[in-house]
Amino acid sequence: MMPEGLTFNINHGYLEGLLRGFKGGILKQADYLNLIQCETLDDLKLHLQSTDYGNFLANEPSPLTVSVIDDKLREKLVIEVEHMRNHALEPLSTFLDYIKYSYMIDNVILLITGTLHGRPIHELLPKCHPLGTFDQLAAINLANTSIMLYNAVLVDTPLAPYIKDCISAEDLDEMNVEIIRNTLYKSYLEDFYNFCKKQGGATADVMCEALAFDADRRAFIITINSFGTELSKEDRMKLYPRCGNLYPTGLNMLGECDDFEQVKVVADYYPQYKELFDNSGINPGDKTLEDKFFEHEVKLMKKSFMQQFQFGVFYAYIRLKEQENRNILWIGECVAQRHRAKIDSYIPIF
Amino acid sequence: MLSPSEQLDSKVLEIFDVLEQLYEAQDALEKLMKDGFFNMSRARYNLGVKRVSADQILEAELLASQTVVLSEGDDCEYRNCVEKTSPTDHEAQTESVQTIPLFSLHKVSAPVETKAAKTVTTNKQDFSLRRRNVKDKDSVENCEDDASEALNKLKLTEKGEGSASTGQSDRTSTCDQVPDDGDAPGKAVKSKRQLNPLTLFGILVPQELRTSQKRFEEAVAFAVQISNLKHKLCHLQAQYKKLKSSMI
Repeated sequence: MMPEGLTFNINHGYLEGLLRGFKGGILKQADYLNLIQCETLDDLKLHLQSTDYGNFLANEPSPLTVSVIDDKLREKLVIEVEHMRNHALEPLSTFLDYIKYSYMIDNVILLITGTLHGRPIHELLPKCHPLGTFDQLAAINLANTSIMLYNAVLVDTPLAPYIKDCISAEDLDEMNVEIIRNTLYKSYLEDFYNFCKKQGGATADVMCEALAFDADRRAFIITINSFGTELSKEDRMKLYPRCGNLYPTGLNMLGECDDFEQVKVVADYYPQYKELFDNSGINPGDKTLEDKFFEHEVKLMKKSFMQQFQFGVFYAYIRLKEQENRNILWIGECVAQRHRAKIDSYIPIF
Repeated sequence: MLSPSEQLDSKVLEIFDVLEQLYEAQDALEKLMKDGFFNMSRARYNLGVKRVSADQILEAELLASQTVVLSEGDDCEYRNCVEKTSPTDHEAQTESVQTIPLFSLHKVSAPVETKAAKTVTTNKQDFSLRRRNVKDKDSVENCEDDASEALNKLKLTEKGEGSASTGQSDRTSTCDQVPDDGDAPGKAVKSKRQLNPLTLFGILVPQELRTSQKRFEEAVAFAVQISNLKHKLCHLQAQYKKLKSSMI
């Protein structure tokens, strides 16, 4: 038996047990088959009552909207994660904090973008993800450049070390905000990777594989989405996280790509990504590349539950719940728009 | 010269032709709109609900990328489709031919930078002297008072890192530049009119959002085509009624 098997449960046994219980509540294929038969969002609400979600939409006034369902789904996840965080001891508490940093980055960018577009800060703050809130978030509207963003907002937050790679005196515009978003996430991902590697054991095995995949996925998506934009190849290279399997050769090749076919050629050198690119397409019956990436992530996250006494299950649960939320919202959008052609394009989990 | 009944028949055939074109255009418009919203939902699935929502829409005045222009002229084929109450009205006989304005779509060519944006550009090089709101000098003095209040609320700690020491000098200058709460910080940047609304959702947007934008652009052309067809139909119907009443 591995050493962590003897001592893990002393500090983290309760939370792992609780988490595996939460995992049992993730929607099954039978639940999705019921949901795709709904005609209206009220039907969807009715079907969700028989799942772990229960009456979470009971107090919401009619007519329901997809945005309201999104808020309530998120609220449920936040309650579970906050409960686990409040009861966590080191190093699990730091691990859970690392997971929350990604939401902090999203909130910072959401507020900067909203403020750039003239929205008052009090309107934007309720839109922030609750897992990513911090005290200085409300001061975002004081930042006009990335230097000010660092000095006035992020200097005392855990995101401070991540912004040092993109500090400049240029005014914040859409391009700079995009670069800040991706640079923050890149630095965060690399830091999280190093933290997990230091933990060693099963946590390192599970998490390093998951984060490496996340890094590679980001590199591919950034490259594909940058075609036809003003983002130069040099700037694009700086956004690639370096903790993935593509580093360094694959990233260098991606940095030189000019179209999708060249990206496919790069993916062909890596068997796990070749399969994803080969099975995706843009024709009506095909799955998109993003769907294939989501599918692969779900596979990795399910695999992490096969191992015990490691922190990867916490990360996996949050990612699987996010996928479940995406599935429910996708079905909700199809129902609301009465566009049932691709209603079964969700990704089943269990 | 066609007999009145033959003229009536040809008018009816024209009406049906236009009706067919109208229904086809309406079908195409419905399909494009549905596709556009569907792709937007797909982009929302990939990026997240909060990243593709009304929160990203620019609060300030957006410059349209296409405008609808009414064209009038003697070469316009169609007559005014205003119906007369009585076919025996003398005014109908003596009415001069009037042209109907037809709708056409024009693309806006180049963005125009406003004066505020130009001023921001010139001040860009000198960071220490840059002002966020250059229109009103008095507001800058008010800004300083508000800035000190705002900064008192923030926790600014000194760190020993190099970047913070650079930040210290910048912090002093930025104290003079923080605006009051009424001004959004990006207002000076926002005054640059942007033509591609896709950038409201970020630079690296997924392919589905680009497709959605294309669909809506195509839908605009169809909407203009439909209004022209309806105008034409209205005019043909008026001509038919006139012909029929002249036969009686």
